[in-house]
Amino acid sequence: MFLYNLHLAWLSIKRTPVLSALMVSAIAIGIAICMTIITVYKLMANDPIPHKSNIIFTQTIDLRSASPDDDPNGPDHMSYQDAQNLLKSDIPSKISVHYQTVAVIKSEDESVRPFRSRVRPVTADFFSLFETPFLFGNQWTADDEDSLQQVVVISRALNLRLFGGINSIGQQIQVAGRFYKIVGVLDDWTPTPRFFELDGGAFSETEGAFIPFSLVPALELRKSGGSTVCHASETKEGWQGFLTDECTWLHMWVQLDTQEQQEQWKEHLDNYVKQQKELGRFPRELNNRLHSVMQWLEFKRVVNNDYIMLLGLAFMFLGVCLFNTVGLMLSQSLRRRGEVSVRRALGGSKLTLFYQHMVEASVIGLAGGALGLVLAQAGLAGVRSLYRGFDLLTQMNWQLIAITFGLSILSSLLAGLLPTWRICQLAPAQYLKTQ
Amino acid sequence: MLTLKKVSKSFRTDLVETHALRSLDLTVDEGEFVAVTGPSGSGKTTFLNIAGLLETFTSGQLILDGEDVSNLSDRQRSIIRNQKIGFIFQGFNLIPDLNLYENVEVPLRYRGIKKAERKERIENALENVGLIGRMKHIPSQLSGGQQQRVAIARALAGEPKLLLADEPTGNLDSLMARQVIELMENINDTGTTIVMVTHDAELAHRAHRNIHIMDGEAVDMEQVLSMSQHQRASKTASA
Repeated sequence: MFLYNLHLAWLSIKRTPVLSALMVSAIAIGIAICMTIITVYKLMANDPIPHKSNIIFTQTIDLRSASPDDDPNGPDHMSYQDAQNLLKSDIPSKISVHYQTVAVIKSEDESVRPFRSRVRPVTADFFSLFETPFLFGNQWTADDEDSLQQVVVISRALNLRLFGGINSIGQQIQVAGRFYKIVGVLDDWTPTPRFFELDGGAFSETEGAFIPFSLVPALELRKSGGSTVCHASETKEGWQGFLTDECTWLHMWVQLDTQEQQEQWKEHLDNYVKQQKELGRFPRELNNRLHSVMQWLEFKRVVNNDYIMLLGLAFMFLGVCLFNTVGLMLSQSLRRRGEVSVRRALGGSKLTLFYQHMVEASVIGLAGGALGLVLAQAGLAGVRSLYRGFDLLTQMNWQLIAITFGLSILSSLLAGLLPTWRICQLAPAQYLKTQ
Repeated sequence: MLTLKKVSKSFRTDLVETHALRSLDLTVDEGEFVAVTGPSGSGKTTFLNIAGLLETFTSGQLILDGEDVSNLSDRQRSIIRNQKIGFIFQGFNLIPDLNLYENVEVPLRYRGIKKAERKERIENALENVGLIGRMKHIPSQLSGGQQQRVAIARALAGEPKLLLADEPTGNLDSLMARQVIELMENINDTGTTIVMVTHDAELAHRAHRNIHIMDGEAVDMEQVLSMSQHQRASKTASA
């Protein structure tokens, strides 16, 4: 019966092409606007590392000098001195300190011109903590880090640019004038939002190269992008002075697998700050905070209220389109009273005819969804052209395509309910005589 | 086959109540060919719609094929319409988008008959009405008489026990009308009970029995005739 009803739906659409096209267009426009906004919103509100987002945390410790009018939240970043001290803890299962810099990268191949690229000094746990996928090789070892080996992990894009995409493990590249041996090549890795570092934008690409954080004192690679805030009234001279200053600029993330570990880590942070207070640091009251991934994204307002409002407006617009579709379907159903009456006379029950008309509404919805998908792609292209940094947010995946069709069929079924119900309530005898 | 016991049907608005049928008592035996006549607005079509389970009634009892069908649900009524009743309408009521084959197929689809059996029944029905060669045509490509024959084929394909016809020749010229009525007589000869509403006295005469409905009541034809003769005589006398 389903295939028969599909055939009847097709005949009905062919019979009233203009009306059908208007219905499909009304649904398509509503769906396109809705899906454009939903796509951006869904990727913005996405959990970038769903299987462990509740066990990895970043923390803020408030080393600012006392000032009553300040923001009650402490700085987002950590000082080099504190990061080094906390790195020594064995409470977290994994702990990573990192920041972003920019350096000139050069390969041994003279035909590839040197270029500037974003580089991220990271501690070795970075890769296992964030579960970065490797295309070739692996991360460096703790020994490499301790012995200040000049090793590097590069991104797939950088490997493609420098080596044409071949396995480049063991090759050397220059980063900021120093030679580094490649130990790993990452596969595509673009967590969205880029939760581990929101300074450079929550939706930007990841870096081209990752080098050991232990080399930082020797490298003098300053942070690029985001804020570096120095909280002491006087700052020290030079790179080494900066590293020991009360300046916050580093990101620290930890993996705490159990509730007990989380409690221990909080206690450790509190004890650390109390200890530092005795040394004359941390003039404020204890203000340590621990944020899981999703808490951090919410705290940093990655999805701001404007987008939530926009999402509401998009659904309202879809509602308006549906009201139009209801009107068009009602007008179509008026023309079909005779046919429905004949079908009723020939033994079609109300339920049979309800099913037939809902299948037809679904076909209209499906067509609206397909057209809406095309229009939504155009809408997303428009968003990309208007706003920089939205590239990752304006790509539909299969899940969103399925949502598009699901939403359009649901919309058309909702729109079809009233006209179908009304036509099924017809007294057939009335229209059999007047046909 | 069909028994109506004191069936009444009234339509009520805020201001008036109209009685379409008043305690109508009527019986049609199995295999009969009955013509229902009466002036416009007398309740003929309402009777036919009630007999065909297309309309409910205010009071009384309706028995179809030995079964009391007075208070059935919509679904049950649909099943009985589909399995036991065939309809022929004045306006043919074919579905314009469907070809002849598909038009005849509609009641069989609702009955859930398998494809192979459907095909056989449809082809037989169209063969019987002489339109097997045109089964891929759509109704608008046929004449009125041919369309009515398709409607008859559609009614026949379901092998109904009762065929209800509402002015089946009303939209046809005399030649076409004769063909259609001959077809109906042939159907009746196979044992199908036919109840036909008509204005056409000649057509009514070809039925086994005539039932006259006036003001929603079945009246005796002889009584009607004597009343009209009496009226004519009174007019002549006064003139």
